[in-house]
Amino acid sequence: MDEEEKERWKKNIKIAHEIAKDKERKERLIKKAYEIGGKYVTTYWGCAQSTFLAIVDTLRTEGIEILTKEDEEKMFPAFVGLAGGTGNIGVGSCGGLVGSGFCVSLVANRSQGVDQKVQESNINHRWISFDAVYKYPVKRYLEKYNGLSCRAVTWARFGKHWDSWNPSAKEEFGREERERGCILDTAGYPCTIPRAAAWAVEDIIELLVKPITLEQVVEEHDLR
Amino acid sequence: MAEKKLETPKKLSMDWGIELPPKKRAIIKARELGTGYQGTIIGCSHCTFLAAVNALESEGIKLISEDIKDKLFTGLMGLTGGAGNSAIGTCGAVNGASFVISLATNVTMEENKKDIDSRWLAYYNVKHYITDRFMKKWGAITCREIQIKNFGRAYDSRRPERSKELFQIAAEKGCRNPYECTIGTAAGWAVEGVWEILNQTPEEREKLKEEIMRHQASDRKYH
Repeated sequence: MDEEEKERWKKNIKIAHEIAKDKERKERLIKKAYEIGGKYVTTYWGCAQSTFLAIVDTLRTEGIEILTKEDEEKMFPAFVGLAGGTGNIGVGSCGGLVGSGFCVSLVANRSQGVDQKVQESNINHRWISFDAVYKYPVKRYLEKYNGLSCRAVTWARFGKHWDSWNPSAKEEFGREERERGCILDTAGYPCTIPRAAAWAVEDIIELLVKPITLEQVVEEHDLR
Repeated sequence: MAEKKLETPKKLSMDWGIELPPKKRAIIKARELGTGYQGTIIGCSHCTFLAAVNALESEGIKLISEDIKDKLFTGLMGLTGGAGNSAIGTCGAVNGASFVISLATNVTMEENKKDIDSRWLAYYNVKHYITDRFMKKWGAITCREIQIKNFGRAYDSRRPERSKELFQIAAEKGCRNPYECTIGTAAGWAVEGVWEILNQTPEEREKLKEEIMRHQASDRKYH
């Protein structure tokens, strides 16, 4: 990790502390995540890439830059294929979880200077991001949707699941989403993408203020 | 059986000086690296990703810069073991391999925004090269179900004693080798897929998209 990035993380942590103390600013940021997430639903039409972008771009509106604009663009193509439960097959993790889990993991690691070299020097570091992803997006999904998969999410939201590779089922899914307002009324009826983005933005602020440390994970997971 | 398929060309190459085709070399390299990384870096998601990307680099194919690789690595770490090591979500090896396939498919922000059909190329490639193969071999893409298939039991790795049991049963089964390891296998599949994706001409890519969209035409109706 270069010096420029280390400096950026110091700045991110400082801003996160300010936001954590300012209820209004925090609420504004979460609201922004719903707005941007909602907008990206109809821009990119894929949960993994839209959630990823919504989180990074929302945090940037308050000066927290977890990735530069250039890096964000370079990484974007990696997320597209993870949408809809991986390759749109429904059975894997919801793309919203992949996008938010990725951002939470990135922040948990890099805000504490953990990169590949650091992980190689002490493999226990991996538990920092495992715990962050479990504590935040995984628990949120389990509580709200009773599962992590695309199928679990649609089951919880609609009481139904559609195979997106089946054209008539995909059409029906699109129709139901639209009728419920997920696409046209993203503020009134937030669908999974803006919700996952808003959760992650809130959680990332907390994570920057109260990081999960190596000492904590060593103790908790009996890694000595 | 899989062992023979890989062992034979490698042995021929070493004993008789037969040059292996670069694609084959990269696949074998990915399998070996993936298996090795599980012993040194630990974690299905980032190990699979790194093995595939580094194996491609060993044959001169550089998908991303070192800096982006490192950032993707740290973001993928938390998606290990079915997300946060919960075992419930997608297997990290599927995530890592799918990231590499999706990167190679290269549906950029601009392309995705201008042409929403383009995202189906990434869905198709991930399904074709990774998830269909996982479904065929393991009948699942989620961590817990793959563990069941591999070991006849699944473990909650968030509990220290179960995590130790999982490592123990993997060691007893001796599956940490380039022919059986889930990470190595997924990394090999990712390399194979990337090789084919990068060898497509722009016309072939467009034609594939048109074919997918002929089938998925209803997708446009509610956008």
